[in-house]
Amino acid sequence: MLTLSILAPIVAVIIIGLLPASKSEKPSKTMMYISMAASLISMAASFIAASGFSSVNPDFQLTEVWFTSVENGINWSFALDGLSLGLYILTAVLFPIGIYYSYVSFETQSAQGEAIRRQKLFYSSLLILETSVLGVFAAQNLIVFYVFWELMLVPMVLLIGIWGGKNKKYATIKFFLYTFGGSVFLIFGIIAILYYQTQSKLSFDLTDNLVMSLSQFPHAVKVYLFWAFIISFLIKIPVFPVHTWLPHAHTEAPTVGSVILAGVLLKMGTYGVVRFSLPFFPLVSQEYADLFMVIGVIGIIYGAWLAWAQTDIKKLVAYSSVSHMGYIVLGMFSGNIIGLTGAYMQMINHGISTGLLFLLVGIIYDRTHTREIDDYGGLAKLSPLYAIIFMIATLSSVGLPGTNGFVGEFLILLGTFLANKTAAVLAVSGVIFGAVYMLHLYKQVFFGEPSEKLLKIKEKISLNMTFKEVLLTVPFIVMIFWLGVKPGLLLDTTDASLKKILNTTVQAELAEKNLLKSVKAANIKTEIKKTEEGL
Amino acid sequence: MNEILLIAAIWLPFLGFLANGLLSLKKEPASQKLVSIFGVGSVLISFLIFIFLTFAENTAIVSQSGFSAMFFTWINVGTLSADFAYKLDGLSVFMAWIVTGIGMLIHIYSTGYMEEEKPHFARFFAYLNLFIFAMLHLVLGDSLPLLFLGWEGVGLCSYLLIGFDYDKDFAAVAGKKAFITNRIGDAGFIIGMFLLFQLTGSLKYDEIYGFFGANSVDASTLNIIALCLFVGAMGKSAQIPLYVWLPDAMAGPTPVSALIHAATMVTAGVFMIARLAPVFLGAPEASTVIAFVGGFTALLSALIALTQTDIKKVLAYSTVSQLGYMFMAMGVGAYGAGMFHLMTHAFFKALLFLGSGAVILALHHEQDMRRMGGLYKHVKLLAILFWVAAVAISGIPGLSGFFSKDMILEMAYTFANGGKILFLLGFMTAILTSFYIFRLIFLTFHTSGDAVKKMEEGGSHGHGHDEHGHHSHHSGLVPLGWNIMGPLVVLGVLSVFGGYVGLPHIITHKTPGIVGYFDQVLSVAPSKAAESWHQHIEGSTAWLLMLASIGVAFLGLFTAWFFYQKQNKVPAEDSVKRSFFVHLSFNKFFVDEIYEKILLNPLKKIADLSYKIIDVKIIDASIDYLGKITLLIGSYMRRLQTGVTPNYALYIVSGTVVIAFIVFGGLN
Repeated sequence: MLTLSILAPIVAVIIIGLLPASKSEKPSKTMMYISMAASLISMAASFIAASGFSSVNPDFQLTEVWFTSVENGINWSFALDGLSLGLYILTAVLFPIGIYYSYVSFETQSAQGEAIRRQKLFYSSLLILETSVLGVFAAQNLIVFYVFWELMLVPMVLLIGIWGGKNKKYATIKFFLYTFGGSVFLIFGIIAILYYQTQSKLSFDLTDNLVMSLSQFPHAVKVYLFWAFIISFLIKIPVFPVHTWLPHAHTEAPTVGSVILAGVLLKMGTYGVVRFSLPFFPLVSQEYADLFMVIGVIGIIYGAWLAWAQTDIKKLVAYSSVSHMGYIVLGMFSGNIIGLTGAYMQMINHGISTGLLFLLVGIIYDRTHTREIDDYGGLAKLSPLYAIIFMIATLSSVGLPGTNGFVGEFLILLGTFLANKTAAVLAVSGVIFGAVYMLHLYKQVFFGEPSEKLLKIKEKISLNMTFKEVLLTVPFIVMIFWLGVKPGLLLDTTDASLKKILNTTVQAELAEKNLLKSVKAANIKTEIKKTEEGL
Repeated sequence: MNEILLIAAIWLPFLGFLANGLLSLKKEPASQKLVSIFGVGSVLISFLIFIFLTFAENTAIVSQSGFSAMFFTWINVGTLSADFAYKLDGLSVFMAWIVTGIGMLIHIYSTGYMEEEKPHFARFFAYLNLFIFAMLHLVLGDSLPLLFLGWEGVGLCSYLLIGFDYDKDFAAVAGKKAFITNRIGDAGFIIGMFLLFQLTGSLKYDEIYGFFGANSVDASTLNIIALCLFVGAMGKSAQIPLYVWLPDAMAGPTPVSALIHAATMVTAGVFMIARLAPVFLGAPEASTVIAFVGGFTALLSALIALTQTDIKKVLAYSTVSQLGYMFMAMGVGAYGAGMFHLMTHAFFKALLFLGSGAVILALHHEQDMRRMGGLYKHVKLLAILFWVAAVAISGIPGLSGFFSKDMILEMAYTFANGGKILFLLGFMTAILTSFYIFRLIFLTFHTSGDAVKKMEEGGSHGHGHDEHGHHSHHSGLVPLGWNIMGPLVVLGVLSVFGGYVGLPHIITHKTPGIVGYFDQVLSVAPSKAAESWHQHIEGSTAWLLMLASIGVAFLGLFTAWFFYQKQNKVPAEDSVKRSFFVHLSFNKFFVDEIYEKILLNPLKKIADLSYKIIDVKIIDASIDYLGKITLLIGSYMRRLQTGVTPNYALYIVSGTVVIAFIVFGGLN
């Protein structure tokens, strides 16, 4: 089933490629149907796979092997565990929404007399992107992970570079350089593992074996490797001060690009931290935990303040992402199950709430063609249902209890508090600033008398959401409240795997102690020998 | 069975919210009858269930553990566990009666008050029902996270209802201000919760009480926890320095002011202190701080109330002031007195607000008292009810407010830690209270002016902060229906007799009933725990204190009568230059302006500058610089973008092959 869900989009790319070239500038239903079919099959397959998931088992399950290559340690096999299941499903659900939204958006644009170009490439990029993200989350092998991690870059660069806004070139190059720069570190780290490994045959499979052999590396090497891995992840997350690609990428990307970027691509970074950095280098992670707490806190506050300073809706939401990702960083390095669970929950939450926010911004942008906050005002009067849905997204974003955002934020803050009081107290101020920028945005856009610009647009095109658009937001709304009151739906699946990751830290500590003991014992033995010899 | 009833009582208002929420989405305004049935009905049934449960489960409720009902699990991670589970005990049943009882009366009132608001009728009741639902979670939840869910939930409803007329800019601004100010308090509350979790290992009340029953914790730890939690109360219950949102909250429709911003939500902080009695009673220094914050809040806001000209603004500052009294009581450990005042205040302040709503409605949405007067002739029953409420709040003997306020003042006087100063604060507030409330009565209902005439003449005059801005045909008073007057009469009766649950000990020579009740039902008996905080006073001193406070109540009445009835003074128009002190009071001591200048504006400036300088000029620019060095790569990249699909496909495939080659080949 995993194979099916990963490969279905690729099959669709081939079919779309075989379609006769058409010069039509109208939105193509055929391509939409093919892409939707593929992504829905992918989604259904992932649901079926997930139904066989056992939440008490902390290890990889649902394994599907493509081919193995024992000599060089690269098994092309895919599997899920509690750490990847949620993100995998989120990805599989977001893509059909993104694809269908794109079509709806094309229709809206076409109705306003705009030409829709290069649809073949557009849908192909989206589908390749889907395969690569699913591959990242399901990879059971470090090298396979890396292949998909890099593959993701190509369609994303195309999406921003071709269908982006006015400054797309600048944003694309920045996005590419940043991410590629990060990847250099990652590949360097992987090669270094190969160089330092002592076993005759090293498997890159993500099993306890790999963790074991890594734990035997000299400490200094572990520190270098830790940084090589984590720099790549930090850029992808992104954290302060390597975040400046994100506002550009988000503002210039087409709506679907922003939804996917915020929804799942950023999570590849945090996923990498929890998947690799924490279990591979438990003691080093612990050593630098305070540093990352500082980074997380700065991200929360800095991101929120800068969000407040924005005049462009998309940029505001982009900076809010920086703030939200700061919370996740905090939780990941809290070193306890409450904080780590919160971080994981927040990865999913951010995908839902920020994904919905970008989708909503896209829906209104299709009509108004402006993202300037000042151009809006009084939208609640013109489009009441849109206002309600935007309010729900806002509440989820500010972490109101009853929505998913609260559970994640609360767990992260509590977990952080138990680990580092100062960091937690500073981070709690994010609760205030989050409300400041989101309610500022909401007030400017929705309250007051309708702005003249909106009234003018209303004469040309209805600002009310169409039925299709409402339908697209329903899965988000359901998840916001479902996870808000029954977070167990998600958390029960992650618990065992997250505990196992924390356990590696405990075991590593024990091993370190034993190592010290044996070193001491050895020292004593040599001393005894020396004394004996002396005698 | 009764468990299910309890859950039903809490969730029925939610069903009302859903029903009315859906009705509000209809293009045509929904039938008001249907909305009223859902809106009022759900709260009424909920109220009836609470009455039933009070009697059916009486022994369980007054026992320490209370009557509990588990609905479903919520958060369960590591050692943290919080469920949708409810606890109906002596404290929460007291609050549930007030919330659903007064809530129901105000729902009924709203069916009359909001009648003209046809397109928004369903939306209004949806919000109101959601509020009751959240408030019931606040008081009935069995753990702090569930209390917090209600706490933020009522904050959301408050935000939505203050900004109910969202097309009016001042309403939207006031809503935002309320939410953000509350969030500042919530941040403190969250930290308090964490500290408590670290100390006790749980956030469930029963486990927290169990912990305090078994361990003694030193006061320094509890002082910090109590202060953090109290920051939350400062926000929600509008105490210095976070009170500034409540007066602005009057932008919401008047029933909202009565329900949320007077009778129920704003008392959540007081309730929270009683709920966590073991924490606060173990924290004497923090409690002293609470008492003084309450005392100063009471005095400051009473000073502001003296000169306000908007009828709702007077009542808003009065509410802040009365909440100050409650915190004074909680701070000196007089929990019975604090909860007592919470109850009586809910009666008479709801009456005052709903009454002022009736005045506003009758006068076609006029709120400025300078445009009123002589209404007694036109609406006698309303005037009488207003007098009842005024007598109750001013502390004239016999009515509810007298008993509760007197109990607080006496307990403040005997407080060992600066009690005399506290008493003085409360005493001065009492004079001011009596003055401003009778000033309101005389200006509105008496004096030689005639509101009806003023209304018919002065169409051009600004409507103050008229919450609806109707362009009504100014002809005579709007008649007030039974659904407006009925709830007022009930509240009037409660305001008269509500005080008899707490007759003073110097009259009955017994512990006042309500004090004994809270000693029995709270997990720690406040009178015993706080006994050492108080000095003993002679019965004669107690009598003297009581007589003094009766004296000032009449003094305030007399002064107000003298100025506004005898001398027929009407407050000056806004533009008139006022004397220094009146100028300060009239402009609310410029607190809002100060906050804006020293807090809000600098923060916004820092945010703007951080974006323009740190983010754009420093971080991003240096990355660009790095980018320029790799210009070659950049130009190469551009050439890649041929725009021909097969080319891109080729890149993707070849890239994959190259990576695979490196990986496979490099390893062998």
